[in-house]
Amino acid sequence: MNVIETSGLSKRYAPGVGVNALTLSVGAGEIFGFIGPNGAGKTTAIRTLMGFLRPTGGNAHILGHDVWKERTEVHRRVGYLPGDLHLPRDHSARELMTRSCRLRGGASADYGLEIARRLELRLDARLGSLSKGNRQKIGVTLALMHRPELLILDEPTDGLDPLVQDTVLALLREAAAEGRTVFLSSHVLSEVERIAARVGIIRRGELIRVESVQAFRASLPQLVSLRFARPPRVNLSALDGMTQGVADGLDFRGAWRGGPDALIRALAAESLDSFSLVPSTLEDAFMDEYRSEGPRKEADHVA
Amino acid sequence: MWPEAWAQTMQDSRRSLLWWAIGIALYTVMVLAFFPLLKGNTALADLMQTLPESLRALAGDNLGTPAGYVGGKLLSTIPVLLTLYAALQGSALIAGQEERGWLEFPLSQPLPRGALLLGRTVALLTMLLALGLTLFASIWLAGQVFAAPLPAGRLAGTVALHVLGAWLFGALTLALGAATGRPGLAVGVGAGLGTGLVVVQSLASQVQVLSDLAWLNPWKYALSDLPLERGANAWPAVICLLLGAALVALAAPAFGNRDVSQ
Repeated sequence: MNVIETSGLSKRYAPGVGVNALTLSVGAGEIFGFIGPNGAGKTTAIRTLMGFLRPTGGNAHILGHDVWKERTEVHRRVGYLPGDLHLPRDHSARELMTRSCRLRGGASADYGLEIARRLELRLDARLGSLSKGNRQKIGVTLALMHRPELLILDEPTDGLDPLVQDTVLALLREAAAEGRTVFLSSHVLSEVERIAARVGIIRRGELIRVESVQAFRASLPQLVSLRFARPPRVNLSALDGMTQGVADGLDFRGAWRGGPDALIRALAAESLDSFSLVPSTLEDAFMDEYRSEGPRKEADHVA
Repeated sequence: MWPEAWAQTMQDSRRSLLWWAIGIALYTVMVLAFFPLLKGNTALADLMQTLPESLRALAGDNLGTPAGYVGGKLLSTIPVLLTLYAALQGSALIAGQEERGWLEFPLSQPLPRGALLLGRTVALLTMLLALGLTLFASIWLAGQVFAAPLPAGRLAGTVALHVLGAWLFGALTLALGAATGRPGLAVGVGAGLGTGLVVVQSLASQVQVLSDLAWLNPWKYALSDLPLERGANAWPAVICLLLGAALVALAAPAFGNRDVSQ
């Protein structure tokens, strides 16, 4: 049985707003990254999975339970971190942990205390006096502390400094090593890459791709930037796999798709001053897509 | 599950409850402190007799007796105060907290929405009963100090009518907020109706149609029926209690079936 199983899951607020026909399976022990630009529908999808939003179409099951009709059973087995964490300002982390334990029938806080120690969380400080990063640590601790079978985390490393981000990612790897499942959203590909085996890409409410991180990564163009030592004989822009090539004297920039072999061979007879091949980020990839859609939208608008 | 939701709500609300209790106690002591100046003042009683009935109804009858003074000068404003408290709390407990994004934490625990609503409803009632107890104790004690002793049974019955009248409007506010997620709408309707009906009741002695329909107004039993002088009727209090509970019960399915905003 898959831990998360959705079929045509939709949550439409208005035409074009929300999530449309999401079909997705996430297996036990998997770390699944749910990525897309801000406003793509990640949070709506997650809040629908958590039973806060009523699906307008399709269905979703978590650990065999319908996410809307059996949400209490789902919540018993899921740890959740909201994307926008709101908690009363006069509470401390310790109070919130105690409350969570009591609402789970007297669950133990031991593991929560261990997480708090590893994150260097100040347990007795009031939330109102804490920075965004420290509040985020509380959210992460609350989500992980009961060792749930599934972790649903909306942008878990948002606002955390790099050292704490590492600790959080290590905690998630440990959870997966124990056979627990992690479903996390992010708009930063590099973060998801470090931890997830598989990613789903959401754009404008539609799940456009689900594949392994490696395959996804390979499909993104890499940015080529080089400077010839002498005027080149090769026309790089004409190579299969090169797009957006711009030659400016001895400098050349372009976007390269596919393995590096053909590019290296083409350059073999040339003399170079500098050369770099940089993987493009998720942001670059999405920017391209939005740019290509931009003018059409404007035309629609004018019409 | 709901007792835990109740306990956590009470913990969150204890500070504001404490301040309201202190305010009500101080108000009671302040009003009763002036009673010795009016006690047995026949000139005042004569003056009151010369007033038209409508003005007498507004000012309060028998200001020279403890029951008349407490009923006319002190308890006449209590429905407004208690209704405001009940409506503010009632809108905050579900809709107000939802607007701040605070409901996601309890609702992401294995706590059914119905249990959260039940726990918070019982908490609202508990808070109002605590304010009622404060009101009763401060009137009774200040009455002993300022030579305005009142029979404890009658006073308790009267305070119960006030508290459960306010409960009805607090429960209406809570129910509207839970069903719609809109705290402004809920507090506007609940507080507006509750305080508006206090004014309506003060006019009932002059307006025939209001007088005919006054049996529908919960404040009739707390104010116009002079429970402190004639003894309180238990039924209106029981009906308010049940009606408030029924309003929340009616809202529960809507709360369970709607989106919870972040």
